[in-house]
Amino acid sequence: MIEVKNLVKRYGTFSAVNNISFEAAPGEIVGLLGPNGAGKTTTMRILTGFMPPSEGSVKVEGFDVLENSMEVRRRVGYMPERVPVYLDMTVHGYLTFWAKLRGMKQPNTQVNQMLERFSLGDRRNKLVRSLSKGLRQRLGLAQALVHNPPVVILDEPTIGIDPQQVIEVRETVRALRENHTVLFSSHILSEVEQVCDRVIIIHKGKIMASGTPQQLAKKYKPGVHLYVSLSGRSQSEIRALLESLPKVDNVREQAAGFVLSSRTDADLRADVSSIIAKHQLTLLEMRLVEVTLEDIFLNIVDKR
Amino acid sequence: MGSFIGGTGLLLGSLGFIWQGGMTPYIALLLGIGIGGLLLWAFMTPDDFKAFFTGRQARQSTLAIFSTLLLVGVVSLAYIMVQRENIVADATVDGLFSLSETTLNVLRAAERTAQKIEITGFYYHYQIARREIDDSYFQLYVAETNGHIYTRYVNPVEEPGFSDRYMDAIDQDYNVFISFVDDNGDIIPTTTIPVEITGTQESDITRALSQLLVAGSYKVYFEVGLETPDPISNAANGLSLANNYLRANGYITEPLNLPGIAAVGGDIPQDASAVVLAQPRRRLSEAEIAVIDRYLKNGGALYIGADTFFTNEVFMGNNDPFNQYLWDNYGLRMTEYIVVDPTSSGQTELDVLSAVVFGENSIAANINKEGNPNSATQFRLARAVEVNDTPPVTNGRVIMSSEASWGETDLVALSTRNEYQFNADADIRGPLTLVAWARDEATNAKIILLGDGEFLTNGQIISTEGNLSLLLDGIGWMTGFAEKVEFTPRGYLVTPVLFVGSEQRDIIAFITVVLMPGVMFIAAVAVYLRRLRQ
Amino acid sequence: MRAIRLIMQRELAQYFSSPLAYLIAGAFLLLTGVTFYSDLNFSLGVRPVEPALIPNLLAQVMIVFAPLLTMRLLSEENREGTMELLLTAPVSDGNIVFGKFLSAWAYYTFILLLTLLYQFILVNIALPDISHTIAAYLGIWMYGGAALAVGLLFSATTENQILAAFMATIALLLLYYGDSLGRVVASADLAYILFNLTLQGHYAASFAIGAVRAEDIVYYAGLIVVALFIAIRVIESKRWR
Repeated sequence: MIEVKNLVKRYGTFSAVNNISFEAAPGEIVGLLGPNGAGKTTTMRILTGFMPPSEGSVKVEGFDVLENSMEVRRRVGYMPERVPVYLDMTVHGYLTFWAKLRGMKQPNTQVNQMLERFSLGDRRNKLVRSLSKGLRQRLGLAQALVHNPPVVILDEPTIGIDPQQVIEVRETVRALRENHTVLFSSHILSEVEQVCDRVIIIHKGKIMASGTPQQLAKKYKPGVHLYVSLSGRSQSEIRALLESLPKVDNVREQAAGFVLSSRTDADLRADVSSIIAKHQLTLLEMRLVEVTLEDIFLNIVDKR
Repeated sequence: MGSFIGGTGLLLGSLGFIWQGGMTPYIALLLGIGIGGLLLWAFMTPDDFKAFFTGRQARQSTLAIFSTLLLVGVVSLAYIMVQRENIVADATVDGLFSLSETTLNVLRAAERTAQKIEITGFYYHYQIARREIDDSYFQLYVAETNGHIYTRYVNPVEEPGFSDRYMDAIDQDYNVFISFVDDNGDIIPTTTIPVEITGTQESDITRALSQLLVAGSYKVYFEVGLETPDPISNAANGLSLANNYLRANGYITEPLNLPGIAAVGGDIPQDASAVVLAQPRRRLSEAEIAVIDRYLKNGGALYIGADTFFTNEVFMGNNDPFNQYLWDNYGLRMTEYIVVDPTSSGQTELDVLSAVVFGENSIAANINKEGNPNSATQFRLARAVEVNDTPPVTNGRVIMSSEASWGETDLVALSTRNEYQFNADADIRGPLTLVAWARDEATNAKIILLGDGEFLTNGQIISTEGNLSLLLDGIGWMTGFAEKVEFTPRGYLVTPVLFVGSEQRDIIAFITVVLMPGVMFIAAVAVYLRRLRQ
Repeated sequence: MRAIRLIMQRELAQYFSSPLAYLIAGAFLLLTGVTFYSDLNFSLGVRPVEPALIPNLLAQVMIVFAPLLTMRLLSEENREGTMELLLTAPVSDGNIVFGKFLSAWAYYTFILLLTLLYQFILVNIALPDISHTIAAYLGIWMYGGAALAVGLLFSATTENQILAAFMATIALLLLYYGDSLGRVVASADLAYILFNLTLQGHYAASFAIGAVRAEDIVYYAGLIVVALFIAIRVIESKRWR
């Protein structure tokens, strides 16, 4: 459970975070989306008790980060963007250290469980120094989860690792949904879309939009989008024909074809079929286009 | 950066302020630097400066700085309070920082004096470490006498006027003095005793302190009526040098004319703690012997330097009644043999060095000290002293010549042709007594009889440490001054000098220089290899 | 307390699992060993051994040694980013600093104890003034603690270990030789104050000659407390930046 109300963080005269409010409920994965320098890391650092807010109130599991910092810190698992590790410790020692430091008396079972879960069991006695970037990322996740915190905060967990490992990390995060409140930041749009239940888009310290990916799609790219690729006439003639269709509001060139947009939920396929028949065109491809967060994001950022 | 300089400046300034309890130029300077630094900060980065004083951050920063200042203040206060208490635990086996019984007795006496006693220490500003070490000893005295003895430290550079008088001594490494002060708190210069700081501070200070206490209470008379040299002239040669040494050590010295006293049937003054007969050139008359007898019976002390003169009527010669008087009453007399010592001698075999010394009393305490050849006594043309081994009073020897020495009887050959040779028939086999003492327990009369008088009058008492010790310690023993001042030096009392066999030394070298560091280096390699495998 | 112990244990394990720590200990023992042996040879038959020999040597060596021991303690955490994790763990800033300090002090104590072997040798061949030696060791132990606290303070201020060591060495040099500033200004009072602010001022004139003065213990303890307090504030300020 995370509650953020009117959060402001200033560095000198610069406001890194400017009046942000949001909530995250247990069992929910919330994605913080925004370009670099949007204020994602600052927000997360305030949530973990690393730095205090300039204004506003931040509560984690009902505890205020300023007044009950220790209670908050006990209930948060955090993986910073850089995935810091102690190079000269063994994998097992590293996890045990953090588990103990976060108050666990007998962390052995938990540590072993984590090692199994992140497939680090065979490397338990290796020095952290010898781990690859991807393995360190896993270790960082294990570190954040080893004390079984109700709230997990992951800052750009997929940055700088290879695609296979990215997929693993995403799966792991998705699996956290059952028992944890997860706050997850990324500047990769597709990733957020895949992983998160809810997305908060921040830009220059402000919340631009929030909601499930579907809600956002509805709000910022309503209507039906259809991709068609035709042949038999010149492209410009085809474009003119498509634009003449009454239900089509917008035609945009894409790849070898066009994307037709309609603000209504009308089915454009029948209309397109009639043009094909009428002008003896050949249909190469026709499919419905899903709205991506990327579109929404560009849409929002461009507008401002 | 400005904030850092400013903060530090303010911090040091306030610290100094607390420490000194007032404004001094240096503290003002520090505070100035502090304020300057803060201004610089405000000027160079106004935004940063402004942000510092607004919002939560400002509260936090000010809180941090003020809590730090507060902590420094508390720590300084605690330090100053503890420092004033001067709590010291002595960890040395020899008890270097605990006053001995002897010192405590001296201090009891010191506390009863009417005037306060000042320990004046001259230390340059670059000798603070030395001053601190000495101070830890001085403070023992201050605390023990509740401030009746107090310290005053002077930097000769800062107080040149005051230091001027002491500069000669300071240049010779005498930088501590003990004096009585008058009611105005000024030093009474005539009472000042220099303290030689040798590393065993307690004995140095206590000895000087006892000198200060007894100074002026002992009078030594130099006999001047027996054709003896003038001791009182200030010319820096001859007997006056010996006289000056006695004065410098706290004795009052006066001339005494024995024939004059004998002529009117008078007595040697009551206050004569000792009378020195330095190299008399004629025999004593019956009347003069009577004067001396009365003096001795009254508890007097006689320091007799009987020298060699190639005349028939030599002082304390074979048939001198005074010689007979000393033999009968004190078991000591002079012979007419000249001591020749082939093994223990200086330039010629007639320059006899002390070969054997006796430690029954303090007379020879500083003679023939180990590692210091100059602490031997040196007599030129010395006569042998004869000691009666079944004496009427307690007596004993102080210095003897070596086994190889003999008493030369052929004085004619010696004096006219400077020839001396051992003649088994006539000469006396060594070792021979050069200096002897006697003490009558009943009357407390004390006598030191020396086979040489010239050492007192030849002006070389400066260069021959042993001869000076023989004078000072002899007079000290006779007057009782030494007993009051004598203080067992504390050096290496318990912790002895080290002796190790060469085999043992090799083992130690192996352990300390090879084994111990080696184990660590091997451990380093082992850890490195283990880490490579991990 | 638990957090202090955990951090201290981790740091100590770090010390003892890195070859550098053993190299430092080896170099250290070589230096003290040579000093001890040459002094032993020098004093044979001449004088008793100097009871405070090793501590006296350490008083100077610590200027370089303390920064070496402490330079990485906090600056490495800053550089590697692990400080961020530590600061978000349920551990107070004071516990972090204190744990780090105790680990350095414990390591220093370990090396100091190793040099007691020399005293053990002495006891077997002579009658050294053991209590004097113990006083000197007590003094140099406190002195070392203070030097380490100063080193730790500079480690907190920067991410660069070399810079931390460099600044700490300069600070310790000032703290050690600061009294020589008094020579320049020709004022005994100022020289006295400076002397009493310096590390050696509270060692050379007391512990080294066998006197345990309460004020010196207060000085070193005070220096430790103040340096650690400022270090905590420095760590804390990182949260505000």
